[in-house]
Amino acid sequence: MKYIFFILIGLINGLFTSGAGQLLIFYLVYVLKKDTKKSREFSLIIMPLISIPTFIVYSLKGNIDIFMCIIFILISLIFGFLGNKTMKKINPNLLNLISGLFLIVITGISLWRIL
Amino acid sequence: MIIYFIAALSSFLSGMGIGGGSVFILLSILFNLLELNEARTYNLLLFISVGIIVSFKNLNQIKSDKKKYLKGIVFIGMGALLGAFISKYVPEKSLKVLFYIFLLLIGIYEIIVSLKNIKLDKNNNKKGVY
Repeated sequence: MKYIFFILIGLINGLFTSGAGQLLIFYLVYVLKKDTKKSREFSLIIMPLISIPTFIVYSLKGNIDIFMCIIFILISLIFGFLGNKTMKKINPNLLNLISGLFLIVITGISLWRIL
Repeated sequence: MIIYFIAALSSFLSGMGIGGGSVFILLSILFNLLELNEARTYNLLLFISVGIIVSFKNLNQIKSDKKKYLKGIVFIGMGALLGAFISKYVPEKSLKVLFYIFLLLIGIYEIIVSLKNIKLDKNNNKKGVY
């Protein structure tokens, strides 16, 4: 059952390119009752790897500027590291609460833009 | 300059595992800083870089749970390939609306359960359970 769900999450990632990570975390934390922080890290390690082929396809279309890429990589390495360090210090319930609020706001705006 | 601030915010949130990718795409488009495909490409780059730094930080955990991570990569990867392939043939807009509604429900559920657990923790602390 878990692996069927994994395939489904991948399918959503392939279709929409965003949101699948949150779905994976929801499944691990609330359905399989796994540890919140470990689940978020599992998603953070797996989902970017899955995104590499998609990134190659998109970048081959010529959508990128190399200078911006270098700056973005530096920024993401620094702030990604800081974000991950911060996550480990936050209470898991508070982290889930922030995540839920965040999900509603971002999804709400995205939905409003589509409709 | 704003785009780099958005990238920093998005990377920080991604590092926390609370979905920074959607922030980058949404804000860069809302502020007219990038086109959708550009935003998607840079977002993937940010996401991959954050994934790399988090992987390095948790190398020991990955080594001890090698099988779990490999299975995750294989099955989610299979689904992603399938999704990318069928994306050309499905009505993206209506599916996206359904998916966003589903994500909204997940967000509401997360908030309710977290608030319940926070309240439970407080009560347990008052009773001196810990």
